[in-house]
Amino acid sequence: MREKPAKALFFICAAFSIFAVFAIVFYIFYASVPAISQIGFFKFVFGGRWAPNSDVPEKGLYGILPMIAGSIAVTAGALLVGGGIGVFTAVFLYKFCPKRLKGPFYHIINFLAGIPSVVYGAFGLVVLVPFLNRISPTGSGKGLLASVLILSIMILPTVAGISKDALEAVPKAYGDGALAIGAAKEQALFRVEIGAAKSGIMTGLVLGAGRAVGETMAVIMVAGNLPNFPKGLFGSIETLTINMVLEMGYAAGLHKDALVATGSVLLTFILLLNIALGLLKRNKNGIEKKIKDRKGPVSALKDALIKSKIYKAAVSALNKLKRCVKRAFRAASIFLLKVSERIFGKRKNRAAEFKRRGYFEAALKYFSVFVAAAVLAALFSIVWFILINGVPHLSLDFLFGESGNAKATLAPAFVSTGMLILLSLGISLPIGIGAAVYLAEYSNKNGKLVKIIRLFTETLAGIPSIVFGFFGMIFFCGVLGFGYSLWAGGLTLSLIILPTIIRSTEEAMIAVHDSLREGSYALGAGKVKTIFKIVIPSALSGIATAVILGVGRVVGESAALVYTSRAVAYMPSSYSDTGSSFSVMMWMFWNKGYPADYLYATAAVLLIIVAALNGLIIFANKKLKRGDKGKITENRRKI
Amino acid sequence: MKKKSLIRILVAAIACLVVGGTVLAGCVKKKTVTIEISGSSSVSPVMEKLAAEFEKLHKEYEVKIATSDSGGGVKDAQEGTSDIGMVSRELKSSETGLTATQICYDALAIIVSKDSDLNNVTNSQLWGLYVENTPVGSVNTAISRENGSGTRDFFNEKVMNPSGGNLKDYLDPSKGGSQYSAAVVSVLSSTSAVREEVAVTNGRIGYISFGSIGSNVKALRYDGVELTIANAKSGSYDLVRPFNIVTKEGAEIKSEVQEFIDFILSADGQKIIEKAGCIAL
Repeated sequence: MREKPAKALFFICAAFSIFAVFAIVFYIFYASVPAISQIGFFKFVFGGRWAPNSDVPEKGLYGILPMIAGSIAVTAGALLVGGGIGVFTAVFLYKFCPKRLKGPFYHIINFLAGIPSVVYGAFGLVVLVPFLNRISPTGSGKGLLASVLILSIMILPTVAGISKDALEAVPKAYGDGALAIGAAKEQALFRVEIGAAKSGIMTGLVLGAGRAVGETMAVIMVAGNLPNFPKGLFGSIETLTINMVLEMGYAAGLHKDALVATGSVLLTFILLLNIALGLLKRNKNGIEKKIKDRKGPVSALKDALIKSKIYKAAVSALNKLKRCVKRAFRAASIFLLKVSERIFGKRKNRAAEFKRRGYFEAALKYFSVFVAAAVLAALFSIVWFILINGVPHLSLDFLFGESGNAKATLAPAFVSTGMLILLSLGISLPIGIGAAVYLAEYSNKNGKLVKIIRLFTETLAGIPSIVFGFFGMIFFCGVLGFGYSLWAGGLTLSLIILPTIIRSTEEAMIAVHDSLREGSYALGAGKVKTIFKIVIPSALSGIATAVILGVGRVVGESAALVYTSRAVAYMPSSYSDTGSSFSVMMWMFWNKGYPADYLYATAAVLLIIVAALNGLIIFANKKLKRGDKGKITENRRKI
Repeated sequence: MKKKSLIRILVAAIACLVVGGTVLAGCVKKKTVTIEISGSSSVSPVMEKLAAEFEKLHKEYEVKIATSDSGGGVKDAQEGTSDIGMVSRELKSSETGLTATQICYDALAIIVSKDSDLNNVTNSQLWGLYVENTPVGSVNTAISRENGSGTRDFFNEKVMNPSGGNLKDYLDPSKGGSQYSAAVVSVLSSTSAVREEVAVTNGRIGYISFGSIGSNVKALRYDGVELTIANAKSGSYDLVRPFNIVTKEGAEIKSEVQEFIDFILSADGQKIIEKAGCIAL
């Protein structure tokens, strides 16, 4: 093969994600212009009332502040609960987990990450909400608390995985140094090592926030869906995403435009989170880089910002807050000390010893063990509950019987899911591998172009699936004229899984040792030949993992498909027909009020598929892997 | 070595694709004439029964029903994405460009959970519960449908205060109303979803199509009148509304669609409707 055209081809693949991000951002924002200009920006974003008028759309009130507040409230709550639990789980995994349990525990957390959101939602609906119903003062368990709890379980794997990686990346000398000057093991961990891993942990939390803001199908089942401002833990709420899914089915005219505009507000949130991520990464790269970066016009702006009064005020406020928190911690540990003095009697030596050993940190250690145990218990109870209730209903007829107007079965879901997997992988696998080749083989690893491509790939990965769904609906169904069809659904999915494929493949290619490439060159092979004969075969495990992760994402996706390939129970006759995957069918069973058995049984099928895919990933890592171990499964949580 | 393994894996992958593709192609239905229907979740249960019977009679036809709500049915029919839209109320004056055909009547059931102590509810009690948050017996919270629901529109038009103003006007946001009434704790987007939540939650009240009622909920007497087909037919049970189907006005109706409409209106079709718990024309 010719070298130059090949390079150009790989470059086009790599640039595709930039193009995709621009297309999505452009179409979503472009489609929201009419609504925002008609309603007025301030009335739309800061309006406190959402009350569409289905007779005359123009007469409705379209203020999304309650939904913005709802989204922020559930995200903050999930970060507080799920983020906290995630960090402590990571600490447990890093330090206190017995070596033998480390691998299984890690796989379990990955499994948790792979469970589709509809399954979490259904679990919340049939287990959590009835329980909260009983303790709620309003008599309704749906609302903020239920949403926060479900989202907490969902963002936990993201936070835990990335925090664990960050902790493992802390140089061993840090902890050793702390030990050497007399700190207890726990003190070294909580005072020094966690501090050193701060930016990594923050990255995990920001990614978790992105997932929480964008989550749709799980919260819609437990939030209550009244467009109110959050009032207490049990008040019914609505998030931006719920609003989009709930009303898109019948919205017309200005109402529909306003929903798309809601999507653009959601997208803005995600882009802001991405900028925060970028800043976090920049912090990691050290001071020299910072000085270098300051030369451009953007950095001049940044300088100005840093010098401005607002920035200074913000920094000092932050520092004050930090001091407050530190003081609170210190007060808490002194309180603990005092309490123990009361109990054990005031003996001076003992008190000194407590201080030296760091009882507060020791308590944190037990807390992290407790948290990890609770996570395990939660996972097992979810899986156990679903299997116990679902497997007995998995009759042959329910799985493979004819599905239609008389009764619904899962048979069409097998076919539709298969068709969606084929189409989306067929498109994104070649593009993804090409992009990975460009990133790993052709580009200067610290060059600007690569950074931009990476940035956009990550942005693409962070866009919530409901936004992809709206884009698919506007662009594939509308502009390209596919209508509601598996074409539209598959094309939308191919965008969703592209970042996963690029990242997984690229990591495996980077792990291929340079000596292999050099050996190939020495034998007279060109670059393209080396890539196809040496690099790609050596990176097969990465590609296999990419395929499995992609399949997992397709199987679990629902929000992006409801308005592209639709929620129906019919066997598709071709790609231009409508069809629903397992997750979408499960959502449909809920939305159409099918008996709970249907939900359990479909959830059981989904769990079995996810477990099988996770098993395959472990297998691919063990059998096919030639680079360093354990890197590939990380991708999953970064999605 | 490496080259061999690559080839092996490529061959395996291609084999997988071919096998998967043929299996999929085998499962995929032969192309038939399809009739696309969408709209109200109150109408869709009876429509599914009609469709199943129709498909038995005409093997070459396939009827596909997508459930959203009345607003969705109107929209899809107007835009031509569906052949037929299902609407569980009268068409509004703003909904133009459509030909509406009434297929049957439906009684609106006010439901509570099976083991509730409540058996009867009056219009003024409903007003008190929905607007002023006054519990009726053990029932203190309510479920509402979403904005586009025809069932919600009908219910809100029927519930009135003593001076004759109805809930719909009271809640109308363009007249300063609050859109959802005080007792509402949950908004659900289909008839059956309301039924399932009412069934498992004590103290909750909701409203659904009589045709969708199941054994897990209890239909209340309304103003003392029991909900039976006979009472609904005679008009003594007040909450009765039409079920309509709409097609695009002026567009040529495909022969299979016309056949299906004729079937619905035929004596056989109306029998199925009665069986499904709705009231024949």
